[in-house]
Amino acid sequence: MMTFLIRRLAISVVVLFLVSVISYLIISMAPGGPMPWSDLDPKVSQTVKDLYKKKFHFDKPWYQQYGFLMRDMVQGKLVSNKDERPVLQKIGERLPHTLLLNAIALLIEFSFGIALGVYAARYRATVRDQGTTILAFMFIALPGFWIAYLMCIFLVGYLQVPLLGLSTFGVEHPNTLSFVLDRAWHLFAPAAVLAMGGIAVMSRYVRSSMLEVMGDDYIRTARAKGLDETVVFYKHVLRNSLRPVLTFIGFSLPAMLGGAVIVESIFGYPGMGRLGYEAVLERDYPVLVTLNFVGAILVLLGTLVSDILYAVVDPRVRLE
Amino acid sequence: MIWVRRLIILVPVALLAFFAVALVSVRWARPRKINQLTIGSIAEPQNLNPILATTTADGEIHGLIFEGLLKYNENIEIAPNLATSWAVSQISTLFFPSNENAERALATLKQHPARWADWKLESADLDGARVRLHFSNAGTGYQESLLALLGDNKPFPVSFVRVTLKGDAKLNGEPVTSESTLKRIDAEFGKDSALRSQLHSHFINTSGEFDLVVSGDPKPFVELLKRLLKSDSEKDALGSCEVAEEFLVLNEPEIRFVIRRGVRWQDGATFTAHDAAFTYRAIVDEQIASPRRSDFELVRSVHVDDDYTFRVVYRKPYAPCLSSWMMGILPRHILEGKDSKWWAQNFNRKPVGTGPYKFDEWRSAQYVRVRRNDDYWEGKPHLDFVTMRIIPDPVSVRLLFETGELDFWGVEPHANKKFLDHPRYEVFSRILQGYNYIGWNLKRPLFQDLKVRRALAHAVNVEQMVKYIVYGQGEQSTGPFPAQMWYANPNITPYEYDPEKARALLKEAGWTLGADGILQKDGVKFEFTLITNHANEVRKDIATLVQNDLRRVGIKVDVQLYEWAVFISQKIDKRDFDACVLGWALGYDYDQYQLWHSTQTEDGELNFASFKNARVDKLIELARSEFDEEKVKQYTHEMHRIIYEEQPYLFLYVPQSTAAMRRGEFRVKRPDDHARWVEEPVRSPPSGFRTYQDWWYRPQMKP
Repeated sequence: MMTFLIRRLAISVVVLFLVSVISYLIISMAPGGPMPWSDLDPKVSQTVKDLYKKKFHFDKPWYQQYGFLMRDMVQGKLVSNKDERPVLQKIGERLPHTLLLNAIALLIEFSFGIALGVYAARYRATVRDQGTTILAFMFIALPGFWIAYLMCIFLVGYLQVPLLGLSTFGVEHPNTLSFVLDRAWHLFAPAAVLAMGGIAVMSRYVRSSMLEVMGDDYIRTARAKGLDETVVFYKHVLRNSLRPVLTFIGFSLPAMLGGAVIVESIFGYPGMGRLGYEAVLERDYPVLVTLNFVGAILVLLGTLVSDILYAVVDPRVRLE
Repeated sequence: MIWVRRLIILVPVALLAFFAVALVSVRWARPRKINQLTIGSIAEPQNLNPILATTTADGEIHGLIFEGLLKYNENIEIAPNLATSWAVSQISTLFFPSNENAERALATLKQHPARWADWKLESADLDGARVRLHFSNAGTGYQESLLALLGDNKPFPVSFVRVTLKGDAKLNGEPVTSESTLKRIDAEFGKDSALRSQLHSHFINTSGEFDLVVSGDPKPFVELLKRLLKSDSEKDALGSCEVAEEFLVLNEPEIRFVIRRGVRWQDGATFTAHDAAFTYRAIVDEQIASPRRSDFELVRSVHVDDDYTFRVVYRKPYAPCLSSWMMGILPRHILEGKDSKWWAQNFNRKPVGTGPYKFDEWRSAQYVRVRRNDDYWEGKPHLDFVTMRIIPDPVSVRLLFETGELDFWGVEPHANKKFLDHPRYEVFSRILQGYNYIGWNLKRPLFQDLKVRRALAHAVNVEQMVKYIVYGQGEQSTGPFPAQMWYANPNITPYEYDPEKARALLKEAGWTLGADGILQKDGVKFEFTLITNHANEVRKDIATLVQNDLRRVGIKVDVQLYEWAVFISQKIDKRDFDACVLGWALGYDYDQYQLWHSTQTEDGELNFASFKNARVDKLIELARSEFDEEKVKQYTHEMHRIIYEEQPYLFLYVPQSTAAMRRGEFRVKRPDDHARWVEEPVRSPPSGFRTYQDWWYRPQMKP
């Protein structure tokens, strides 16, 4: 186990280095450069542009720029070239919002996904099963932004319920409960849209996994022992078929922080997706590289977690 | 195992129930509304420091927090703000070959006292071989007649000799800067008194560039400097040296501001002339790299005579310099001695100004809020807060406005009709300061024939464009100046849509219709590529309509779209295009040197049509050095006419912007130009100026 971890760690360091170099190269190869103002502003003279480039080292060759960037990143002094705020601070103020939103999305995803999958497996090959199948395919097929707009138009436009942003705007809440409920409501809509695809995928996973387990010999044995069908289903079948679901958790880790540009934009939610998107448009290299870096760390961590979870759940797998 | 089963059912049901309760609570609990104005913005502000801010969103917020020495009133006239008054004067220096010449010139001038009043010449005095003239106005209008009066006794011309140092140049291991080079020049010229007497003064532009003011023939001077810039140890030159500008007379205008007394910063400190001087120093500070620097590059020096007198001396007459003092003034007592990192951490996102609202809170990607400044010198504003909500999606912004979460909304053209006649809403339309156009690349032979450009102008149906693309929210443009401004020429008839005329003109130019329905001349087909940027729907639509219109007169147009950065850096900056669809958003001043002057046609500069017209160059130069509005008008009117006739762009239309609010929700109570309070409904002045948002109040929450 220990050797496994050490080896993985060593590989991870190499991977992270490569990720940082490649992501910097790709970003800096994109046409146009970082300029915090419009390219066609007659008031911004060449002198100003040169001074700006000098200030952020953009007058140097790319490997030197990369060097400066990495030095600042390691020292924790990296600042955005858009507004000179520390990158960590910029990410830090978005992180809690993204974490909360994604945690709720995951909660919805898991609770509804598993329930739907179990339901479909329990009533396999009946109309109820086909109903869940249709539902799942609909969830996968319908684009999130479309559902998001529909929700907005219906809930905001017709029912006049405030929905956009982090909480209802321009009001004073009489008590904490009212405030908490308000926040919860504003989280619900984006989380539901984010979770939709996941619910569908998860329910399919659970259903097929359960059906597979149901055909196994030990289930027949359990039934042969005369166990109650409910017990067979919820103890023997369910427990043994949840293995793929557990590894799912590991893979969800990067998604937890990744953010979602479109949903965040439509719902006016201050998450990481918008930060990254704006950074791309503004060629804010430090923010982009840091986001890529954090993303890479999470992917590596996610695979590690799912590998370990797999080993924990399945005694046949050993980590060496 | 029944608990597992229950759990699987219970968790989703509980979640649903919780959200249902939340929905009910949000829908039916009606918490108290705050006395505030909420506006929406698609883009988030980047920086609330007025000397660093560039975006519209920045301006909307820092405009409430900061104030300039001057401001525009609603007729776009320059009006006092933090300065109660200002006066423009000018010192002009004539350099003569000898003291006798100077004395003779002064005597000649004194023989003609009648002319002094025309020139606004107050006094003249002698300083060795120089004659100094003190004018009570600025400009170069006097120059021609005064020099004619002097006859053969001509003064020396004056040149700005510019030295540009190489970025990484080193001498004896030390980096070479403007300061160190000036010291070397000083030492060198000690030996040569003839050259020394030619050198009048110097200006440091940046650490790598400075100008020397030289009278007489600049050539030997430049030669000497070039020698000096050759370092002993290195083969390469340390920099280059050239004559940047030449004048007949050295004219140095001065603006004297009287600073308003009794104004306090939002933290309680007193506002003085030192703050204005500090703001200037900050703008030209290289570490700060302010994008507003170019407005202040012509400043020679600033002087604080006492706490309430501030003087600025310029290197040469530049009339739009007055409007540059509308720049928000920074608090010296907070910012002096701090570096740009400190600014970013402690000021740019929580600024302190003198304006009617003070900064309150900024939540990234959510909102920026300002609070009423009870101590405001012009009187207490009425709203507790003004908040800008940041909603990146235009559909969501509209929903928020319709449900009352936003108070003010910039209506999109296609929704205009609904809001225009709606009993619940009030709508404010105003003409914008700018226009959309098709820029022809005049380097391409296809567009070099004026007849062809005029034919193109007749072939494109602008009226239809306005009707279908912006739903009537625009007016046909008549050239580089927006029609509502005083400096625009009102007597220009726009090219009318007339395909027949277009065909005739093209025929005159030698283009004949080929068998395939495409015009050709000498075996070349009339086809070109029209490019624009990808994300702009309006420009895409314009390109499509132009393609269609031109097809009818036998011109084949391909439309290509590029991402903005590629569009600018690969196509426009490198002049690698035939024609482009673009738009200009203009400021209120008339100086368009960067857009039309023939010196601005290098790659990356803004005259990307490569328009070169000697008369227009002259008019631009005259207009920007003239302080008399009547004369400026003459120049700009002529310039307007020539540019429109020459058609370097196909000027399309000036767009309108429309904003809506719920009827009667806000009113205005503001001090007018004479500090009397005026109460009125919210309205949009004909000049297209702003609607006094800082003085809005809610009648139902009357102050």
